[in-house]
Amino acid sequence: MTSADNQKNTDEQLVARILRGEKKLFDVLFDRYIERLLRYVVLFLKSDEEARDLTQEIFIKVFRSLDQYKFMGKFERWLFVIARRTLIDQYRKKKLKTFSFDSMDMDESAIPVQEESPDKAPELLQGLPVRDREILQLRFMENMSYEEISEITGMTQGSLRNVVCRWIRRIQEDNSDELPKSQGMARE
Amino acid sequence: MSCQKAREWLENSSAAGLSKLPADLRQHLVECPACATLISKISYQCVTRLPENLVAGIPAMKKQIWAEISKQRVQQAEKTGIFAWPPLWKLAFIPLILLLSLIVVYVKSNTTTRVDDHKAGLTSAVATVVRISNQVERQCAGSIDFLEVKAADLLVPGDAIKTGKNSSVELIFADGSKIAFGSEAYFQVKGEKCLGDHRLGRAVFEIKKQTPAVSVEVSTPQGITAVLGTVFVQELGKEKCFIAVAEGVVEFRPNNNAGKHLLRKGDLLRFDSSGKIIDRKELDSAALLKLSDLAGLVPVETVSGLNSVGQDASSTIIPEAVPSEIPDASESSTEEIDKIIDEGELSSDSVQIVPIIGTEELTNEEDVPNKDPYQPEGTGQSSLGVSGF
Repeated sequence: MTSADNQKNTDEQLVARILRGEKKLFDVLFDRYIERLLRYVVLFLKSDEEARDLTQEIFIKVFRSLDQYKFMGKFERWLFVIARRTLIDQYRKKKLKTFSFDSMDMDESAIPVQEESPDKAPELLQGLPVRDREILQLRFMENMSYEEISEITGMTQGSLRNVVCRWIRRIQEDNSDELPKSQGMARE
Repeated sequence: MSCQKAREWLENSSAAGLSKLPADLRQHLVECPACATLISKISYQCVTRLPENLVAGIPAMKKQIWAEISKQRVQQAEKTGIFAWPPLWKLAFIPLILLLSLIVVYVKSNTTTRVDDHKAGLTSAVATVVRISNQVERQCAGSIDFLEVKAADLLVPGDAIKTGKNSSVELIFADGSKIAFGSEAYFQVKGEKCLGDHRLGRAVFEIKKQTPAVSVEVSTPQGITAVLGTVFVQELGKEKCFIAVAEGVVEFRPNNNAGKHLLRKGDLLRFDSSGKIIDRKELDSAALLKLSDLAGLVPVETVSGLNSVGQDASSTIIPEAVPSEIPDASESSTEEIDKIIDEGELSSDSVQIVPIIGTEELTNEEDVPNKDPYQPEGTGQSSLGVSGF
């Protein structure tokens, strides 16, 4: 089977084949998710080095846990659950020095602030709590439903909806300030 | 789609990924700059651009991940073995290993002991070489090679001793009996009942009293000797043989079924290599002493005054045991000796010979055997019975 054929396989098909012994197909999964996972991890970590190490750790954990994947639900969701748990585990083991997670009641001011990078999230998103940024990213960039995000974050769907609505309103307000009145939300 | 609907879609749709905008929303965005700007801003805000160094390091990450996975698989394989056990479990395993080792050693040694015992049953040492002079060789049981003998060598049944010219050797048996061999002698050690097979050469036997009082035997090509504590000299030549008894009683029973011959202290019995009796004579102590001298090996003719083997035996022979007095030639002479002992008729000090009838006592010719009991027909093997007390 060629590389292109492998790419056509769904995540679940690839996992099944990996479990049957085609370990190298894990490369395909890696290629599919590496950037998305990096983006997700970067949300919480201010150090690129830590982000890289943690992402490696997540992939290793995923590989080792593949036999525990029960094919119930999407692989993608399972992957992000593992990623988030790994983040929390590593934070609890105090292996992450630049971790930032509002739900952990952590004082972000205590974390050394990295030099501002143009690659980082824009100002508006930067101003949001990390938890909200995670939700928005999962919602709009990872195309996840509230149910899926709820499984990953452990938050209720109502709370998630509130976060999203509040942020959209805020952007809308910010947008309306920039737009001429005639082009505002007059159509509403 | 209206702006309200667009916002509702963003807030409530089951999947609100910006990359999966429905067609009617796309159409609306074309017509509505406000909503288009909103979507654009949301997209702008949510897209987290990865630092270049992170993106550039992805291939290295992949290699690193595979290296780590391989390493962990090796470790996991190791952990499935005994080495994966916690240290305490390993420590607990040590006594178990020791116990198993002890059991194995015990079983093995037990087996070895049993084998040794079995071997010992077959080949336990019955004699020890105590004195050697010049060339003495030993032929181990089952072997055809002769090896040099050393003092304190143990002899097992089947082992044979051979002495060379001007050589001698002395064996001591478990019961304390001794046999000294002169030059050019050959003796094969046997078991308890039969001390051995004396085939050639002169030997002085000092047989200890047996406890319980049973006789032992010395076999020869000419017969078997039953022994019960006696001293006698026995020489087996290629042509001429003799037995001279220094103490006790010796019974010689030729193999040719020519009866048995009880010899007492001072008796000399000569026979040829076939067991045929040549003559019988009494010797004095000095003569016996000379015969017992294995270094000199004085010829028996010299000490006994007999010059010819062919001399008429009847004229010189001291009356022998009457064959009729001996119940059955085939009956074991040792049984008779044992019987005598049991009846207490004999002692080491006074030897009472089983009734012997001299030629002059044979009043009835019918009682006299037609055949010379000492010159039996046939040249088969004879047995030498020796009984000493």
